[in-house]
Amino acid sequence: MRYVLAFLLFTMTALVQTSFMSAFPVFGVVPNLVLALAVCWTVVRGQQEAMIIVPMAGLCLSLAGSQPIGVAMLAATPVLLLSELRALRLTPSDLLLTIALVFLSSLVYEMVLLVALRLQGETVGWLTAFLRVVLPTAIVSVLFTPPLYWLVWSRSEGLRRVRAYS
Amino acid sequence: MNSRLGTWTLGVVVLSFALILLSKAGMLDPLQSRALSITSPLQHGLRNAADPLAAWLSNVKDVGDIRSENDQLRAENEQLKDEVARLREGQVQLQELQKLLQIKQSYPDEEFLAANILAKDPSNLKEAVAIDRGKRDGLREGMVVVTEGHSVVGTVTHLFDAYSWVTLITDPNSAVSATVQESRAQGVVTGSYSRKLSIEFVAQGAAVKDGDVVITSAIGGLYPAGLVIGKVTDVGGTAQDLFKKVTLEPLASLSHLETVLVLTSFLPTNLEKP
Repeated sequence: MRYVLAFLLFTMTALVQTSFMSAFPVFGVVPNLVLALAVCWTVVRGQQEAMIIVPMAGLCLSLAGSQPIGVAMLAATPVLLLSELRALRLTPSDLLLTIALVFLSSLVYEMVLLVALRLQGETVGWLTAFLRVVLPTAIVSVLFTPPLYWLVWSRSEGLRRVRAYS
Repeated sequence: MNSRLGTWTLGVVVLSFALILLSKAGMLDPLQSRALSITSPLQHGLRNAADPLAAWLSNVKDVGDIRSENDQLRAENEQLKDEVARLREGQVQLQELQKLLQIKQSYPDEEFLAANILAKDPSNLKEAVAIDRGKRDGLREGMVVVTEGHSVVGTVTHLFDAYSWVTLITDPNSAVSATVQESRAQGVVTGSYSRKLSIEFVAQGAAVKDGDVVITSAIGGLYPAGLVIGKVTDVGGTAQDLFKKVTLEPLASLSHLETVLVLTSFLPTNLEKP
């Protein structure tokens, strides 16, 4: 049931990203809310759930886009590996770690998409794409991370209590 | 990294590649089509909710500029520019009858099919929109899509039974053979990652100035001649440059499109008429 609700949440987020947020571009780009939400979920709720949630987020993005299904899933996969950083406790708060991971994940996600576009025969201007799209998207996604983090965090009270006892 | 996570990640990568291959083979088209069909009412609702808010924000940014009036004037301007462009084209046609008669004979009747915009590609790297017309409506890949004012929007690039994806002319990979109407200078209009249009390969000696109208040329066979693309907003570069640096803006606001027309009577030269 948890994953069904998660799928609905990610689908709704993908729709908001494509239909609502596209009317309010910041620095000319739209934040990748789905990816940011997946990273928040990973940090707050742990690797176990991330292993299902991250591919699910990629699938939702795939279904909402014009690229072949699987491209967005592939591009989101590095989030799974980045989730390992959580265990290292590099930052004093999980929010800071989440922000750093959203930035990194977004960079990796967009770069994988660029490679996918190139492999499909499209011309890619690497430096221009990085400066005009990849970097701004990562920055803008970070700006939208705190509310998404709060959303997941506030809905995970039970899980936090279990962790505190164990 | 724990081995369970490594194995799982590898599995997801393999699954992703499998899905990509199946998708490229068209086997997942029904799934994508179904997803568009289910989510299109929601997307429509969200866009309708966003538009007034976006318009309000736009008005806040520029108080003196009333959005609705601007949109109305823009639409009117687009139509008038299209009319002027057509009239000018008529004039040029008279002067170059023999040359253009051939083009005219190729596209004797323009037939359009109206379509609604359903969705926009979520990636910032692609400029594409989904429309509610597909194979069963007779659409073919490469068909040209225009606004209601008949200025170019893009081309159909991916078809499902009931839906299609249209790549916009502002997409970084879009290239349209074009003519600057006033000077008849030839070039190629390309999109960019900043969603701006520019004309490449305009000869340094060509007399191009701000406000000039840019239309499609039939060179390459992918677009019919005479469709309005946009107007020149800046002409730059130095005398040492081989080509002029010309930027233009589309006449239609491509980010606020609701309805478009698919030009079904024109097929690119690499396609055969059904």
